[in-house]
Amino acid sequence: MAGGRNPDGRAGGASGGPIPPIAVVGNPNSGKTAIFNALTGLRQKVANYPGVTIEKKEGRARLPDGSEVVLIDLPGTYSLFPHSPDELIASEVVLGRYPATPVPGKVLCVVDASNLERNLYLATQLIDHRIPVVIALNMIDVAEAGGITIDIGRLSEELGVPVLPTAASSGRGIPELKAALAGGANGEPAARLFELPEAAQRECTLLEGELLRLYGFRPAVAHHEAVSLLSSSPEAADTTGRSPSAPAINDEELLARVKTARDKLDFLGIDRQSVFIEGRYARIRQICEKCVSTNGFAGRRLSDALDRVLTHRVWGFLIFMALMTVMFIGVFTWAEYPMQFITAGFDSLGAIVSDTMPPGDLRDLLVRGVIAGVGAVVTFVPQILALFFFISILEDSGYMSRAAFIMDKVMGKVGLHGKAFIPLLGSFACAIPGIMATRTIESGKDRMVTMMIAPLMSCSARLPVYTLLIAAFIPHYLILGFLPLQGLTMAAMYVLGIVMALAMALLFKKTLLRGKKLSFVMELPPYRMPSPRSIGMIMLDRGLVFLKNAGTFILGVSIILWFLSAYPKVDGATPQEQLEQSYAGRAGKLIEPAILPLGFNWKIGIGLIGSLLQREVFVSTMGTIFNIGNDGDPESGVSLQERMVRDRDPETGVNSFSVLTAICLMIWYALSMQCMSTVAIVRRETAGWKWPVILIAYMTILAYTFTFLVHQGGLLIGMG
Amino acid sequence: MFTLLITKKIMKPESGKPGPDRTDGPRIAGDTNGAVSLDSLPGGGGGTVTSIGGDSTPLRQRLMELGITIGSDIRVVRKAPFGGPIEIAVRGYRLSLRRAEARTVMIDTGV
Repeated sequence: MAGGRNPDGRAGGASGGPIPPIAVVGNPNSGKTAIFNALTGLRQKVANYPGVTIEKKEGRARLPDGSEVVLIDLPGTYSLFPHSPDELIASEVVLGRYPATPVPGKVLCVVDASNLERNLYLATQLIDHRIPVVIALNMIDVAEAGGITIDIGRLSEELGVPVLPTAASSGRGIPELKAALAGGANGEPAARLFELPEAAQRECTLLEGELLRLYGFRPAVAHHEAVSLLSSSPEAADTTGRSPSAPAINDEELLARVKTARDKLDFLGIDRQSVFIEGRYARIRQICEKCVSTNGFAGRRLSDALDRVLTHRVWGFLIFMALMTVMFIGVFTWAEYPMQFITAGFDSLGAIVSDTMPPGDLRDLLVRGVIAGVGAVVTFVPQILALFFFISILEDSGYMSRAAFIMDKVMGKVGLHGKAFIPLLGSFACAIPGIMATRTIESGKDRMVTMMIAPLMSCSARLPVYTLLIAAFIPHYLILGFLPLQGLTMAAMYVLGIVMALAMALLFKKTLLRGKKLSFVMELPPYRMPSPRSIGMIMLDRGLVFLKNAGTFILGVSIILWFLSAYPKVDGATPQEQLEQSYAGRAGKLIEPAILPLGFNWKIGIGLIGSLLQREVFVSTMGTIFNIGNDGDPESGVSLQERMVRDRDPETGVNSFSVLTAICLMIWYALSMQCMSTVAIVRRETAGWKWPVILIAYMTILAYTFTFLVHQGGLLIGMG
Repeated sequence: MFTLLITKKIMKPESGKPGPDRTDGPRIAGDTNGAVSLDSLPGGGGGTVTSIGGDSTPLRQRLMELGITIGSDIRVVRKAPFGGPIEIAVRGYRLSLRRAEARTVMIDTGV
């Protein structure tokens, strides 16, 4: 809404400007994102991932008073004192000191009604920081079904903040929640909820005052810093908990004061770490006794029954393996028909354009550059959708954490955390969300190892390359009458990536990222029916990001490549000669000496160069190159695969591709780091160029070495 | 079992040695005759937390923030195969932790 009025005139922002945003926080699995989606609908600004991590998702909600407010969806967190990078983001935004994010006017804290005690820990922390809070008591339906009755009026009274019952999955309570978020009626909570022992309280208050005086912190930040200064031990360099953006607290006098305060509390036998936690839980228990009544333990019965099977020492593993198999078969078979449909669509579009336009450079550009290039990549949208469909079901249902639970020991063998399994599985779809998912790994080193090997998982961008090469060069043949050779080749590529990733993990853990094993403290939420809405949102989100990419980056690369392969014009040359003389042909020839030992000629070189930034571009490049290089009528319906098989050097008569070349190319693409977006995301997540450079270097060396060995070995045994 | 927590006192002047060099051994909280480490409990076993070791480590902080505080009730739901993590029930929800982590939590089984 233009102008951003503040309905009751309360000073929301610093100068009556736009309404300050509302931050949405909550424990993991509290249904926070579902509430966010229910409030904002599709009016979300989804972060664009090349170069930008999805740190905060923003959405707009129209409130009953007519105002429009920005909501920020923050990563799930258990506490305002963070233990992992994503928790750090949540607490920094809430405290209003995250760069380029306005101080939230209010915080919407989503609390799982079926798991109230632990969820209230974060909520009461917010209240004790004197941050204006509205509580959404979410999954109230689950709590009721489990025999938990909550006196909501009483709870709101005890906490001193508005509490609204919601069930995001059915939309229950959402209008009331919007009404509560509107206006500025609820200010800061009146009082702290729990009492510290007198000495601790005194030191804490004194320190807060000093921080306010010396650094001009807002009260919430002063309280936060005072508690963290008092509770940490002097020698503990708690790097995850410290905000990089917060001003360094280095005033000598203040630090001396902190030391005296710590010594005093230690002398009194007060455990400075637990004093801030145990008192809070004791108070929460009191509140729950007043407001919550339960009848029996019906809540988890079904979930427990499922767990007896799904985390069983034998069945658990078998089911896990079966699920993974189903997932991959599903992705390939389900996506096949829509893919054929899209391909046919782009083919006929090309044919229509060819028929209606006069011949010339513009027609060539459209048909051979734009339509062929973008079409080749858009074909893979169904696969991406199918993969994210499965991954979001696994995540939404609660199975992902069980998978981490049963895989932790296995992953531990190569020094990885059980939680690393989730980002790695996600990387089969795309390394970018996979790398972003590593934020749930608390240890910096474990996280770094996972990030370094995630790009070795065969992502969906490699699929087009594999699919094209397998369809063209691997024969339709059933081993033992039932195992398709083509399918096995595909599986082999995945296995190659996994084996290399595990080997590299071990290597990294032994060298650059040596460190002791870190904690595996992870919640196992009850199983839930995945919500079609949230699955739909994730698929839509991923699909759009990919299409946006295809419409911008890949379109641009396609046009440039078409230009490079069509110019400079050579008069009277055959298409083959023309390609050879073009800029692209010259670049391909330039790198030919380096790639010839891998079995790649200059034409493939053009593909390698073209896909340096994005591996799936290889397919569209091949589409462009072999369309141009084709002597006959390019619209005659000869498939790209056939053109690649037939293509040969006019002088030597040697085919561009052999089966060995195709295998080598697949190995190259399985192991090399040809994805600018991944490099960009790693740079962002690690805040520097060191790790992205290491990533590019090691993967290139790995890919070159392996492809070289396979090619030379293949030649020795008479392949190719 | 609820009232136990409320009356729980955090200050125990006689139990901690003064100074920052206090050891991280189990602090005395009531009767610890039956206290065993959490990882040694069999599946289905449980009791009341008597101490969380590891001094002021981030792990200790996190365990406490997740509700594993002195006096809270814990039950071992299951143990993953081959020495994998264990699953516990605490404050009405489920948490998994590795055995080495569970070793820092002492439990009074009440026997």
